[in-house]
Amino acid sequence: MLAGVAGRFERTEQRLVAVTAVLAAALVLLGFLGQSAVRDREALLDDAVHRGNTLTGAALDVYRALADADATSLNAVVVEPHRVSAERKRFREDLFDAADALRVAASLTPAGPSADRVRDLADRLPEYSRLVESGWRHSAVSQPVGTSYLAQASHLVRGDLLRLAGELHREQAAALTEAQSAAGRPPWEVFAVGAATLVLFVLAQRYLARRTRRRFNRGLVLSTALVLASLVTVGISVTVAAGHAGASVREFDTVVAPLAKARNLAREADGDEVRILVFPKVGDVASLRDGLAALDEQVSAAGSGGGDRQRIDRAATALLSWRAAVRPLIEPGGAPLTYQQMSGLVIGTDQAAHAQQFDEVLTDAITWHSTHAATSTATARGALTNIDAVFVVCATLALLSLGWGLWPRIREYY
Amino acid sequence: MRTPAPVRAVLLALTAVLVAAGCGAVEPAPRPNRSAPVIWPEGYTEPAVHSPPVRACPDPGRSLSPAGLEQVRTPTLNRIRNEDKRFVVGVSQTAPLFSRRDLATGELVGFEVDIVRRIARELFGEPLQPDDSRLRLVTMPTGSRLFAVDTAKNREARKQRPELGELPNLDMVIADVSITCGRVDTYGLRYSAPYLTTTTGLMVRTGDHHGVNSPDDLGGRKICSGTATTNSDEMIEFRDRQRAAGKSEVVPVSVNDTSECLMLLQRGLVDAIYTDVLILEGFRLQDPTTVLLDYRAPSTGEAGIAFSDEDQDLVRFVNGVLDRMRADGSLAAAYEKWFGTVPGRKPIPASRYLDP
Repeated sequence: MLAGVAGRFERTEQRLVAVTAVLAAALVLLGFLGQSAVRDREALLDDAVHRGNTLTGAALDVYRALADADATSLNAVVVEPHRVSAERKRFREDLFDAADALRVAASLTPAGPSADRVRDLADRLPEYSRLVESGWRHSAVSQPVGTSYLAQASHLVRGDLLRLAGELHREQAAALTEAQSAAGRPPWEVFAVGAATLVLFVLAQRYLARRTRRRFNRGLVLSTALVLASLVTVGISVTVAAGHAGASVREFDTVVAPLAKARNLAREADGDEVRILVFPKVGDVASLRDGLAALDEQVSAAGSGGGDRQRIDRAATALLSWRAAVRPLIEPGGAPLTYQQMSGLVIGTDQAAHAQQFDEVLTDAITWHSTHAATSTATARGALTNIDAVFVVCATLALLSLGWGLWPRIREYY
Repeated sequence: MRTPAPVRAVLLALTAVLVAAGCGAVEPAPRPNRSAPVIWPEGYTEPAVHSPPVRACPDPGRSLSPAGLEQVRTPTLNRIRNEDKRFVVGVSQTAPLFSRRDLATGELVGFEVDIVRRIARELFGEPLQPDDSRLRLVTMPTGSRLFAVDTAKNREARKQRPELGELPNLDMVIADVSITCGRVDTYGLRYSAPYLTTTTGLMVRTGDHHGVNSPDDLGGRKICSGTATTNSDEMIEFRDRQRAAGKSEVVPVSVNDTSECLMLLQRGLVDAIYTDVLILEGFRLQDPTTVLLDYRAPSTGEAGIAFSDEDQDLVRFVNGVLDRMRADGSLAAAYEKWFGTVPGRKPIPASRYLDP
């Protein structure tokens, strides 16, 4: 059989036709692979820009809003009467923010484990709201059963809702990191086929040089140059995109993630403080103490991860003031505080201002770094814009050039 | 006029395509049949579990006589009056009629608060203002309040469970603490002479009370009590007797804090509450749509103030205050003030002492 195949290519014109066919096939394959590789990466980055960033942000918002709702739901029954309306309003706004963020998340995750979590969260929000509103209604008329409602609401938000929101955020943050990392990976299959194509062009050139006594075939040279140019273009574009995508991933991982964790812990610590007043449980003080210590670690981690120095310093200062304000509540030993003393520490104006300021500073830093990271993702996407078209044009021109170079040589034999 | 064959063929083909398209039409996916999740409180147990058996002990409600105070040293009283200059008492803040706190002002009111204020007054020798820092009324975590009494057993427990270290050391706990051998055994407590006799009753929602006279009429329904309380154990034993007799059984359920039973009753998640009638009266006052039935369990219990067994002088002193309150009528007056509306309540028990 091999002898039969070889017999078909005994004549030079037959061999030239075969060479042309092989080179054309290699160019078509290269064009197809190159275009798909670039389009795949564009799609990943498009998804990251238009869906991943939004979804990760929505998951963060759900957590933050629910953790804040836990604290404000309890604050509303312990603050002075003139502050009750403000706390209730803030709780309702938190719930709206959580529901709104869930709506966004639901529209962007139609199926899969994240969709299940979004559904579970959405299922429980109405009951959570009912429990808190019932707790307020009873507490407002000094009925202790209000505390039972609020305790159950707090148990629901801490035991279920925050856990689900945390899992949702972790999944989406991991997916975003994976998408951006994948978009920045070099297209090795394109480079391999491109290298093989270049080798074929060199061999074809040498064969032609021996047969036609012309050192270079202009068509083949031009095709080779176009293949090389397309590979270099793709290589540079993907490298640039990888740099920007990597920067975005690093910023999300080393700055936004610890800041977001710090903000969540801070909201939980705020809830811990007021729980100690409303329905104390063994472990609350330790939880508050550990939470405040962990805040320090997260803010430091964000600073060493490349966080904006000015914003990190403001967060650290606000945290320091907050910790100093509530120190008597968390340091063991000494006489137990009176309710009024504890109440002053937990909901007093100074303490509330420090905790609030810390939350605001962190929110500002998270927003700034998230926007910055998202811009890096968009820049990565921009680096790949039209590169697929450039690649296809190069491959097409290389194909035409191949025909331009080899057709006259073939025609000489007919 | 006959239709030409090619046209017939085309029409036939078109019809076939349309029929095939109709057969292959996508049907809308049926909407899943879902229902709202039921949210239960932390520690909700269904069915309730019987608490472990307790070793029998001599009457734990028999306390130390105040008459013996003059013959003993008084280290605890001296510490409270002269060294600490504060009297630290564990109370509940969610038990209406017993001890309830206004969360906005911090003010505590109730039968037990009246008793504590009288004890503090005699301890420091003068009336104390509500904001006097010498009297510290500390709200204790549910389920852990008795670990805050400074006994040898509790110190050992704190070593085993470091999280208990955040509990302050209390001089006494007054929070409708039932006098039981189990608590003496577990925490190393000593009780004051009892200041309340408790009897168990039954509460249902208005509308559910017709034809319901006892737990026997609540077959198949959920009855709520506090976890590991004698009430819960009684209801489990009642269910077992119903089972043995082949009757429709009640479903005993339990929660960490009995006050959560009212929330579950209001939300329609349980059908009745089985606990002390004085607590049930507090529930009824909070929710007029509930009914406290005439049913009373045959057994009764007593509530006392819990102390460390090492603070014998304080126990004797407090028993003396309680005796003086009995004698001058102030204990009965406070009882009438807070629990006067409770039908069939038991009278305040007499003091019983170990020593003359």
